[in-house]
Amino acid sequence: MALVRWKDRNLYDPWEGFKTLQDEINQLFDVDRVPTSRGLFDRTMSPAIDVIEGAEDISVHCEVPGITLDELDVSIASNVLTIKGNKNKEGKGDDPRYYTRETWSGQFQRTISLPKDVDSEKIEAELRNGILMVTLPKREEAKQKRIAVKVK
Amino acid sequence: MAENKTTDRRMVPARYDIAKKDHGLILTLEMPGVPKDGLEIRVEGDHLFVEGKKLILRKEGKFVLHEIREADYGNVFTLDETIDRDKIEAKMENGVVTIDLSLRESEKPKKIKVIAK
Repeated sequence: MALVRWKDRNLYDPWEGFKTLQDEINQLFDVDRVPTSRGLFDRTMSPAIDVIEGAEDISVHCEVPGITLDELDVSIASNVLTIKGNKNKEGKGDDPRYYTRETWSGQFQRTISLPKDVDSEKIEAELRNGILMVTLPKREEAKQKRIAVKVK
Repeated sequence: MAENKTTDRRMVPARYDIAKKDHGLILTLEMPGVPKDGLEIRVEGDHLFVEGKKLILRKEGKFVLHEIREADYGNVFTLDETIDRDKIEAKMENGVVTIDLSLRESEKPKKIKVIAK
């Protein structure tokens, strides 16, 4: 895509159809473009998420570009982690005319069921560069214990 | 803990908005995970390159869910002659890059006073 001057639509261009077709096919390969909503009840937008299970804790990373701390709501209830938020563009100045609009705004929500062994008292969350990082430590008894084996 | 692979990651275009303002255009790109020093914006001839290197901070472990793409961002835009190359300003906040593109003074609409006699 380019920032070029708008084409004069009054002039008939016989090749225009091919150009738009080419653009549309090219866009199919930009897989990252369309935000998806997953699951039957997740009707709101769902940003991409990584869940990594480590030895000591579980970390959840979530892509939330342009969202400030007060627009985010992270909660945990009976081992279900919910990341909710409202990406609000309105109210930040007057609503301009858009030439291109690919980013989405509005409410979003992700829910993740966690394994039972998460210590919900010690959860830490951090927002950095548009990525929310939640660290959920495992309970002491759930951690793998290493038993030293002595060779005699 | 910090692990950052910068070698030969794939580049994908970031999602962007182009909004029209009185003084020109505002280009907004969503680049989550890109720190300020990982961002490179340059103008080469008529092309505006916006490239962001993602900083991946991740702990050791196995993936239960893996939806975040491990790719850097790269977008190229063509600037037309109405945009002032010397007046491009950019800022980055919460993974969102905002680039302010102003029109050249000669391209700005001028009001002409009509005097009735």
